[in-house]
Amino acid sequence: MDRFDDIWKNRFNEESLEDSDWNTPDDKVWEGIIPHVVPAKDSRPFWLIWIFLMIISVLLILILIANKKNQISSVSIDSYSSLVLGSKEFNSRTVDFKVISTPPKKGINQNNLVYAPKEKLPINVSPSDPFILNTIRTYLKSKTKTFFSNKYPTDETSMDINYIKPEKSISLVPLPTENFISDDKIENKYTEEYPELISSLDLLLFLEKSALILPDSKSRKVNRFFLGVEAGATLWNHKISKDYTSDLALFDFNYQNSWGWQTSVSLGYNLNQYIGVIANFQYDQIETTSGHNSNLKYSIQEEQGINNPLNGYALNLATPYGLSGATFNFNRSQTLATDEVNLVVDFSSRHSIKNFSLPIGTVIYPFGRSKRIIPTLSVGFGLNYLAQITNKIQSIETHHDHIKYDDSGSATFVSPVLEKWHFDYRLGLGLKYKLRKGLHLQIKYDWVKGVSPIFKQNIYETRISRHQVSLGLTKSITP
Amino acid sequence: MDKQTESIILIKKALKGNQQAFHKLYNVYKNSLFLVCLRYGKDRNIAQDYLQDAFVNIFKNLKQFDLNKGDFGPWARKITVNACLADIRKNTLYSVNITKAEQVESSDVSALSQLSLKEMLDHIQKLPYGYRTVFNMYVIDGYSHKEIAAALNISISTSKSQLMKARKVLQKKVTFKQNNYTQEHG
Repeated sequence: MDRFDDIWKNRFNEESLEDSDWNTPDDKVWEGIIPHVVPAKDSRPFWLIWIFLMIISVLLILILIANKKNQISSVSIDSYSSLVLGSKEFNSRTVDFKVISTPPKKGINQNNLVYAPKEKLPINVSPSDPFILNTIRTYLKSKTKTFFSNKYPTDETSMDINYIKPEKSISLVPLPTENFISDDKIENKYTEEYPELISSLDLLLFLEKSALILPDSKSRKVNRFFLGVEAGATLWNHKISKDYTSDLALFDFNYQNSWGWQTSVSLGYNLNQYIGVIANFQYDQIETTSGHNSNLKYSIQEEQGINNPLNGYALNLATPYGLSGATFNFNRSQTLATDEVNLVVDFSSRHSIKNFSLPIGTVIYPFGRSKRIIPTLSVGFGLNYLAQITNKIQSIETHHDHIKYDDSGSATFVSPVLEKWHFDYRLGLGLKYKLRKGLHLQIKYDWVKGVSPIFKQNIYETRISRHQVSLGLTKSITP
Repeated sequence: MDKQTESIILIKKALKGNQQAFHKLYNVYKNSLFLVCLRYGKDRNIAQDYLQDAFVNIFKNLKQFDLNKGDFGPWARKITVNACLADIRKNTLYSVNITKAEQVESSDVSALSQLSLKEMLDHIQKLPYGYRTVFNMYVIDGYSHKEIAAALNISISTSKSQLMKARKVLQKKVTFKQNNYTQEHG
């Protein structure tokens, strides 16, 4: 630093400064500060609250899962397709039913329970008629104290059933095939005419009679975990603060919400027939464009080079993610009439975005998981890591015949300063289609609402909401 | 009571919610910080906006000021410079012509020495945005080119060329004024 600089530095850093009109601010300045003069609050960063919420949610889910091991709640089994019979009476007959089980009450000795067989018997019992389902359900509701399950049903409709051996045998009455239809009148008639209705309990008794029940056999393991992969399209909808867009309105600032692609892998755990928890790892990649204009002056005196006259510029370009510094050159191709030319220049920029998300949430099966087509609802929140936004000058239009943007690659455009971590909450609607046992095709729509900005500078900020459509596969797994 | 001791007492009171202490603290520092704002702003009105933002930030962050270690003046001044820069960044599409950076000729500092602070400020305020900001940051507030480049989103070479140009313009203005003065007063 030379003497010239020293004088400037010293004069403006002198301690003593006489008060006069020019260096005393108006009273209105203090009036503008007063509303902000409040005792400092102990406000915690927003992201800390989110992380805290996430940890609490995960803990709650874990506690819920742990408790489920010891608790038997009311469950519904949609079908008994894996339960098989070997009786002549049931030969070629199809029977399907639902079982309503309730938690065991205190005082019931679990040692008295016997187990249904694991082995397959010759004849399958396959899905059929709601009439029978209702009848059996009614019957079993009256037996809630003695009939229950100690396991949740799987989505494959097979389960082990525990029951307390009744004191008296119930004789089995085969059902006529013609009555296996859904009709209220027939149901009433049927109930009257066949009081000794076949039931799931009857079936089990029958199995027991046939000496096929294996006491104390281990329960079948249930596949409650599932893995998923999916890919699809994503629309990034920019929510840019009005302060920013209005301040840049003079420059005709504009931007585009663009489609990109996304892919994810997920791991889930079904708590029961109707609800599960799910965690995803998602990657998004999109490209957006933005533009504005600016007044620039081209000066002959500022030119570099004789053979290739040009002016170089450094300019902050407006993007949906704040102002970012860019450098570029303009070339002059012919002699100009004046030394200086005022230009109105249109800038067009392209922004490439890479984002990782870690959403966790709950998936709800409003109609259970046993049908071939399973509607799903999902709610959750996501932690996002904005890995990168790279800016690129797409075009610069000078609107001048002899002064043009030099697009030879010498231009630079720095990346914006971003909030790397941001958060969202999301709601999803989907349909699962059962391809085969444990394997589902899934189509899904997610609405993702950004709750923290990806760019923030004083009162300016940009948040992202996303619309996602994806297609994928889920597979039940045994850990 | 010296300024630093007075500041510490006022800060302690302000942290307890005493609004009069805020006002007194403002009165103690308003002029020195306003001078900073005048250097970065194009005119008095803009400088007053900067000063308001600066004091809002100072009071909001008062809890972070270490009473045992720091001198309040430099701390408040740094926040003031940051408030000016934030405003410059958000309100200005920062346009500068970067070619033909020239070296400042060996300067006659005697002309500069004769200027009043107000005259020097006037010269700074008349500089284009880019020149003024870089000159203020580098020469008066002691930022490095690397820090300036990061703060303004420009390259280091741009920062250097802006500084060169600012010096050159200021030199011309000071010399011109000195010549006029010499001609007028013989």
